[in-house]
Amino acid sequence: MGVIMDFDVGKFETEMNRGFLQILVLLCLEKSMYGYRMLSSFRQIGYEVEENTLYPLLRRLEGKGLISSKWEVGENRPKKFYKITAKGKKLRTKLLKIWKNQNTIIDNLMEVNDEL
Amino acid sequence: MNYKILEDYIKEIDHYLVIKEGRNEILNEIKSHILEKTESESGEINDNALKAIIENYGSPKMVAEKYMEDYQIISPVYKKYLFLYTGLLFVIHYGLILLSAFSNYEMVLFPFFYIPIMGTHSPVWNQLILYIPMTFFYDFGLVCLFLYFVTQNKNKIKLPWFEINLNWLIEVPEKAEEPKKHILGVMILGFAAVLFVYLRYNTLFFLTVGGEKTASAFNSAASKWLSFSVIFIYLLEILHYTSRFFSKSAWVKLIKDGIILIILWLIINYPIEEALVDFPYLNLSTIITFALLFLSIMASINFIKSLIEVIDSRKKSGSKPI
Repeated sequence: MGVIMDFDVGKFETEMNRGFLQILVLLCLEKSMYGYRMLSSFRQIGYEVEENTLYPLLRRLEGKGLISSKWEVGENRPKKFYKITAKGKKLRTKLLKIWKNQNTIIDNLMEVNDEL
Repeated sequence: MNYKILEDYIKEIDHYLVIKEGRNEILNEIKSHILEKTESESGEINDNALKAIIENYGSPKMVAEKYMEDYQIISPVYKKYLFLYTGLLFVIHYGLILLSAFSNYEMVLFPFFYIPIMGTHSPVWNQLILYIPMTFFYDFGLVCLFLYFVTQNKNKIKLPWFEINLNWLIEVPEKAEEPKKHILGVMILGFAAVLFVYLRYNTLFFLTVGGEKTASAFNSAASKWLSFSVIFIYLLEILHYTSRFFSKSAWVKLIKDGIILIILWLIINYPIEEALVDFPYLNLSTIITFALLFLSIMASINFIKSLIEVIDSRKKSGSKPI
């Protein structure tokens, strides 16, 4: 039973994370950063992301013109650095507004439930 | 420095990655990430450390899939179209195959299909049965190919959809009287008798004239083929009569009469004269020709009557065929 519950939560968590990770990446790329560094900084703030999830997402965001990329040869090997674009910043503002609004709705509903 | 384990992994991802633009960039980025992570977590890059990081990154197929989440070979919205179009194409295609088989003509619609003249290497019936799965798989593949191009096309294409109401197949009442159990019983007894005669004499067509020894009227191959045809028609009649206890569909009768007509057509096309055994007292060839002519006329009349019954019932029920 416990296993089934964990599996179900995992699936819902993946779905929820999809949108959340987009906002997180757009927030994180205010300054230029490459994938491995991004994953490390997420981990530091307590958010675990699989690498094979992050890179395809970066590619999709780049394809939509929300972030840009540039290859740079650092210490010993080339790395692909990403940075948010003006279009990405506009979308980020809108997404944050939606997210805050959703949080308020959930808080209000929780309050109503508590009163019941 | 190149690491074989890493190169093999990247090569396998490349194999699954169906992306035209930016493919090398994706592969280089994965490679760079794995190398940096290995170095960072193990202090040095070696095969064992790389192996652990690669295993954690995921299978090449799964990694490639994540890059192609938006990519579809055939859009799932076309699932119903796939089956409807395959069904319609199959009916047309197999109809042409039947037409080709009975008219003895080959048909070509380059590059879509080629139906050769049948019966040259093996019996027509064998080939017609073989053509059922072959035609289905061919048509299924053709529709898949068509839907693939529609999916890949960026323009909005609205495919035609046909509403087929199958209720007419079971709702059309047959005009015939209520079936009776004792008649079915007599039919089954008759069938048992026919089977007994066939098993006893290996034929249903034998002659005894003037107290002479009983003999088959045809050679063994023809005798077998004609006897089976009669047994099959008899069985078809019994099955049809039995079906009337459950359903009064005029369509079932129409289908039964259609099959009988096809069997008679095949019998007529059989070189009976060559298969006849010499018999001194009778001109068997003439008798058989007349008998077959009579049976064919009767079967044709039955078929036309069934067809009229179906059309009549359709008009009364006021629904459209398709």
